[in-house]
Amino acid sequence: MLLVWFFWQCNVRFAERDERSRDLNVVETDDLTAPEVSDDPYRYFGRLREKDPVHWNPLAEAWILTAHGDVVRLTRSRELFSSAVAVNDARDTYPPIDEGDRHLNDSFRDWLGDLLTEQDRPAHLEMRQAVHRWFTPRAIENWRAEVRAAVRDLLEEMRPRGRMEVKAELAAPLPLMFICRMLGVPESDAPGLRDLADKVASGRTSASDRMGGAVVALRQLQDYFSPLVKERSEKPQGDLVSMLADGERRGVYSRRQVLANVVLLMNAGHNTTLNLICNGVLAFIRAPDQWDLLRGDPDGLCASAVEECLRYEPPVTSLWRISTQDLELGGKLIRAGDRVLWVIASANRDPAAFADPDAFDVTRSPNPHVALGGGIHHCLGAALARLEGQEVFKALAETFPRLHLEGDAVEYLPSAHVRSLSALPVCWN
Amino acid sequence: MNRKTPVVRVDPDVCVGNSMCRATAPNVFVADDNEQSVVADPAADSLEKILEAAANCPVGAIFVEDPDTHEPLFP
Repeated sequence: MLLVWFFWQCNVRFAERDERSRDLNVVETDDLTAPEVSDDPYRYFGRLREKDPVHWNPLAEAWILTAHGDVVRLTRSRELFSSAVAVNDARDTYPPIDEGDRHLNDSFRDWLGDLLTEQDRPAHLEMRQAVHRWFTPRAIENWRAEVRAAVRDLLEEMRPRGRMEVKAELAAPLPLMFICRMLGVPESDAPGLRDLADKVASGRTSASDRMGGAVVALRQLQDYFSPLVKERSEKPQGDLVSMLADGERRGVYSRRQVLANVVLLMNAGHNTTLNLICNGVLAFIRAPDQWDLLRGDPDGLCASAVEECLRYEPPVTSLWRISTQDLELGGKLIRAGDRVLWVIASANRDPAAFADPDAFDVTRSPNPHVALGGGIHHCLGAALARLEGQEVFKALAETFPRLHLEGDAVEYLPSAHVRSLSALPVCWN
Repeated sequence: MNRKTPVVRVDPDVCVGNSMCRATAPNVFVADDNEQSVVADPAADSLEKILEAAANCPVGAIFVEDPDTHEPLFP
């Protein structure tokens, strides 16, 4: 009898697999490390959205969700999905990593497991509340004058040269400068920190050897911040590290979590806005009519222009989650424990939510993009990213009648999770 | 307690369902079917709590007014 039950179970499983594998026909590949995914995620995931918006990808062992309506609803439904992916997902990491790097991957997952972004309620609420008020729109607005002055200084310095590499000379140093000020880190340390943060960020690319550099840099960053955390927990100042240290004093964070999240804040405050600026500048270079519009009214249009940059080329293109209960969606059954990928890049180009979705339109309104996520994990630094983006695009529009790409092509880091240019050389003469 | 009840509004086109308002003033703000916040009863928590909830909104979706003068109390 037991044997019959066993074979019946096997049959059910195989039938399910057959059902899922039929979905393969709708895309050229399920390999999310393929160049076509990094080069044009809008085309790749857009095709999925049209043909199979709840797609089972057997290589990633994950459901790929691409419709705007689904992504919006599910980001807000905290009971349906766990964000504690590193802790709750026993499957192999995808994209695959080198067999010899398993121990490094385990260290990386240990770090991920301590992050605010990987917590569920109830722990998440108190952890977020400990830093939330630093990042409210009103609190961040107080930084505007300082950001504006810093952008002006950077541009004034570069203007006579006639060219800049946007990523290295503007998009990276500016957000890093401000997250360093907020954390209470000396700005002279910023270049070294940037190098390490870039290496940690490489943990989000598709390269199978990505863990080596990422984990070494992670340890170096934690070693760097460790004395600062100790100092601030003994003698609090009005900075972000002191806020986290206060969370530790109240039992909301462990010391290990404080350290992990200081590194998270530094990385998130740096890499995402960096990509917003680079991707936005490139979008404007390719749409001179939109640049002219912005130049005509930089004060009036910089806010909606940033929203459109976020929609059109989102810095974070997808997020992993783990389903916590069986869920029927689009005629498919997502089972509790299944791995799910929410594709922001596709949701933001869904014609069901946006008219003419592949057009870059800085006057678009309303603009219900999901570039900053939604629900309890809505980007903590959203107001800061917006403010920095607004000040950068406003200042660029006021300074340069036209920006041109130097060279014929741009290259994106190989990743299905971030939209990140390797470099962006531009000129204005 | 005799006090004026403010006019409280959540803009559904702006709310992202972050739910920090529900954590701050749980008797005023509740979730609707879309997991967005709506106002259940503006008299159910103190004005201080409501203003704190409005300030905590990460996208500025909450608007608070004086009921008599319609002066904005937040933002």
